Amino acid sequence: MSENTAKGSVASQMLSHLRVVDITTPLAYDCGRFFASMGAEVIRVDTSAVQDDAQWSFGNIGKSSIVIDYPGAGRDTFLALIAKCDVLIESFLPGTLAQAGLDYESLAKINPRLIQVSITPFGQNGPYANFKGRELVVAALAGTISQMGEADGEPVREPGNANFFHACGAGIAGALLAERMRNKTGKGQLVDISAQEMGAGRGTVAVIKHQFGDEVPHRNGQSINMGGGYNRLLWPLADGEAFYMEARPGTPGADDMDKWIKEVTGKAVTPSHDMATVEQFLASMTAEQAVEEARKRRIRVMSVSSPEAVAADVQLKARGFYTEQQGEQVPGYFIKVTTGESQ
Amino acid sequence: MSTQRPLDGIRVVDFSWAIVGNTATKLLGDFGAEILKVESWSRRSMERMRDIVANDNPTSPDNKLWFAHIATSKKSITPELKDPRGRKIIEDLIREADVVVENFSPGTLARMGFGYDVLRELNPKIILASGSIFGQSGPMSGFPGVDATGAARSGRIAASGYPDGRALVPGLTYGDSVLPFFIASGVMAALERRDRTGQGCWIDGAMQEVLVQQMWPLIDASLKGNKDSWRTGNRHADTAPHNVYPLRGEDKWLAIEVWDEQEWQALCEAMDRPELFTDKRFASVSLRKANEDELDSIIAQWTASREQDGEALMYSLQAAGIAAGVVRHTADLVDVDPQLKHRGFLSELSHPVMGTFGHQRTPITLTDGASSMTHSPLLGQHTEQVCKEILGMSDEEIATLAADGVFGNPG
Repeated sequence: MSENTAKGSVASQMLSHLRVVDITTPLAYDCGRFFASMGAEVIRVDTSAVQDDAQWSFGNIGKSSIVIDYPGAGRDTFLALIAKCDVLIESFLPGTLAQAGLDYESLAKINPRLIQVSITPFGQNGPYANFKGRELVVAALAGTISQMGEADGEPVREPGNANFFHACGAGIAGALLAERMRNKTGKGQLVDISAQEMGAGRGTVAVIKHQFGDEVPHRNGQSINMGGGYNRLLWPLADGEAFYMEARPGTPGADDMDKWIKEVTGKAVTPSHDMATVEQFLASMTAEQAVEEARKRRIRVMSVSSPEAVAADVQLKARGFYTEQQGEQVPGYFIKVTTGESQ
Repeated sequence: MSTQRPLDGIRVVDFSWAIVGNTATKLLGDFGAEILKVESWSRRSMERMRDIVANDNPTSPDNKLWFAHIATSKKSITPELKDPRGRKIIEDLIREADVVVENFSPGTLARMGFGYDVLRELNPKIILASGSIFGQSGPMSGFPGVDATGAARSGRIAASGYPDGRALVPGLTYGDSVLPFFIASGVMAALERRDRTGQGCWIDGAMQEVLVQQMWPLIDASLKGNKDSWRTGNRHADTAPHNVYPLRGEDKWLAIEVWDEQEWQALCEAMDRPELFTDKRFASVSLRKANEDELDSIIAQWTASREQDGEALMYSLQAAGIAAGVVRHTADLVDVDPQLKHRGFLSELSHPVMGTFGHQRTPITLTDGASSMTHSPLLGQHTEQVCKEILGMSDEEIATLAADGVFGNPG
């Protein structure tokens, strides 16, 4: 059990006053998982028993689990639970719960203090509110997908449920904002989160460029545009790959790599920051060597971790990030909380 | 709708200098917290230094569009920390604050003389929120990094791209955008705990850890030998079709996801190819996965041959019950997308130097409780106001400090 999530830890006290009912689809499991990691009592409600589902097992860590056919025969039981909870988290398309008479207005009559977090592809209102979409379609309409891929190729989505995970973060923040409001007014409310808006909001710099008539950068394989051209970000190592943002002559840090290469090889880099020389230099080192030597020089070189490397990561292990669930290593906390003594 | 704001009455001393901290305090400020952004004429917030577009003025700290978006709803104060009188202003503000937020490299705030132990002496109930790549402890805590450092070390970069191709790099930041929501949530959770227990705490948000949380289902599947879900391009290990397909026109694409047989049948009918539904090659998810190249080729030929524009095709597929979405480019997000417009993705604010333009709002919609975004502050705009209204300084004291350069030197 990681220190952060252990019973009695500071983290476990953060939201211990809250009871949360979670009826989300898999795309929004993480919202309730955060509440559980901070000490809330999170009750996972499924309409039928779930077995041998890895996504469910991980997504519902820290929650208690009950089965209630809440749109059907178990409706009264569910409403009794709603009457005694602080937060309901759901992620059905708008109108789905209303069809079962479980819309927010109906639930608030039973529990006026209820905070409902609705995490949906496009939000509760607007012309796309009833559009279907999981991560890929949301990523398309949020524009995040247009920013990754080869320059002359198709757009490519990011790994995992990136926009919905982001939306879960907003759902948590929204619930806690609603709680602050409830402290003032005594009333709950519906918190409306759109996964599309989360993704669209990530393109601040590109939005600014478009707003003011500048050219918006295009996806470009392993390079991104930091202004003044595309900077290469991925380089081969002897045993893998590294992230290193190619520095342009005259930009901050541009000389650091040249100095490092000269120190090791005895040869000046000509012309300054020659990409072939940098590539050859980095490729001569293992990930461990490159990261450690770069750290000493405050150069931002970082190895690209495989799944195995993430699972064995020294930093994550040292911080007690991982915990055990049914004999398996899984991530524990989302954010670490201390009172300072152990730091 | 209440006119009250959720975080009215909460005061934050904000040392943020980069995206993570500034986005977290934008959220808190947009929903009512008083954000006192500690700045300096000599050491400016990262977004105040970057010229993003051609008409950003390199000589002015107040003509910076990135800062304008990310620093809404904040006050800017510029006491010089090297002057004991400037330091005392910050110490006095911390005594009057609920929260301190920072995103320096770990250890920097302590070297500035404002480590958590010092903050607690000044204000035993203070909540400190720190954002960094690797967290405040551990062997890699002090490693230098940016958004892609966290992505590299979380499996996120390794998982981006095609199974038989090289890794790709997302053109948009992710960790920088996601971590602030967890930090802001941590702050609000800590406020609740403080109200119950009278105790503050230290929120230590690490980008690597939040990204591993997001990536874990893929990492775990890969570790257990299921490599099908690792670096899948636009495909998905559990279903097909699931891809982007070309439309007429340059760089125009339509994303389509099919998750069950009903949707598959609806797509076959929408394509006017009902025979595909009973075609033995595509008669189940596992068969469609096995014949996915052929399947994608058929759909791509169909989308590319449509005379309808992408918007109309998307609407017609959605009406048929199929998840479909046009791939938006940045210009589309601002100029075209009716959903984002309806939701107020950009909110017009008038900035005294840069004029009126759409600012990104914090994407949390409350049905009760106002958010009230105000334009980003000019550098040092609120120093004298804060000294007077919060610290009770007299006009004479303030004039003396200003004359002595304690509020910084615009020169």
